[in-house]
Amino acid sequence: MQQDRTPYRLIAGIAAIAAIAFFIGIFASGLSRKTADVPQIPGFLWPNPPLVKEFSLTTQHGLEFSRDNLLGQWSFMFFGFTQCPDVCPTTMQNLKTTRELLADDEIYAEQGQIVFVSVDPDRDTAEIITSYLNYFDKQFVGITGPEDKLTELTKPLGILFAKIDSGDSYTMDHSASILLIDPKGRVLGLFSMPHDPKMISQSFKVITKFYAQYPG
Amino acid sequence: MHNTPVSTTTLRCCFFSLLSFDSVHAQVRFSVGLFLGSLLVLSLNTVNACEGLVFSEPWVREPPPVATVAAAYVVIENVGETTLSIDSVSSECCRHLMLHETEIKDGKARMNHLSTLQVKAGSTIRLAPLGAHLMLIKPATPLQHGQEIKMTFSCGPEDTSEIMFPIIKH
Repeated sequence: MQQDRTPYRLIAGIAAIAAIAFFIGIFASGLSRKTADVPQIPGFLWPNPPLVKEFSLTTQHGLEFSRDNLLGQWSFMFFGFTQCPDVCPTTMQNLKTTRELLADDEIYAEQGQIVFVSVDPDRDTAEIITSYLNYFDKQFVGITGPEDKLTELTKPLGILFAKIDSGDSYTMDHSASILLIDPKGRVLGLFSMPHDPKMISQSFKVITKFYAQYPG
Repeated sequence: MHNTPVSTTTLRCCFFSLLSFDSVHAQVRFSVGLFLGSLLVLSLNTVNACEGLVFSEPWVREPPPVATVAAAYVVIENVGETTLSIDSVSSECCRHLMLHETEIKDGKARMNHLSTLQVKAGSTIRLAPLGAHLMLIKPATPLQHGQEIKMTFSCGPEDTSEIMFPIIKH
């Protein structure tokens, strides 16, 4: 009897291996196709971008700004401070140019926002942030809050800032990258310095097009 | 000392010595580590620091109205045959004037103070956005595009040159 079973076991084993190989093949085929479709943009992490955690800050208009204000929106987010002579005005100008380059983009027109996060709440009052943003672009949203509230947003994302004494005043070290957050509140990636508005706007179009195909 | 209404000027400085350490006058808003700079320059066996420096493309980025700081940029070329050193830069525009360098490391921006500015023979230093820049702190009056700021670059007590920096909205 044992001799009679051997061919069946052999056939069953071969069939099992073939089935496994078949499904691996299908999986690998699908994976490679999906991988090939993913836009290759430096600084962008696919397919498991981190989520923005719950946070609560205040806009330049005195309104609460939380994670809910990111949902349903495509958000460019930059961390800086108004008494920053070089990196911040350069970045703000680049963000303004980016927005202008996306003027004809339907997705940005409907869902786009640019969020400036001041990491210097001691000096950057709502009035100062309002004046600062009005200088660059009145459509920008400015938010800030006490340090412990700021870190609720920044720490989970690995965004760093620190006060550095400078004579009778101080300056701030701060992350210089621009984050791109999708309508589900996921940080899809970041644009590192130096920023190129043309590259950022083109990347935005590629990413949102991909997102429409694979919303995740 | 000579006025420079155009954007390119050759600095003519005569002598570099430790005496300049005592020469920081009231209007000087920015003073660098001259002593250390002197030691460094002497160790490099350089002489008469400023002869041969050519400045071009000076400009100040117009700051937003609420900002009490602004950045100035310029290109400095050393057409001489020795390393040249700028010991201080001053202007009546602002309370302080400092030489900074923006450092982007691991995605984080930091401003580092530079004590002196040395330009090797035949080389060019470009003070530009996201790099080295002159930081103007607490301007006496609002800095607005269309205006010009006079800055005095010094290589020693008698070795100065005035460069006009237009304020540009950029």
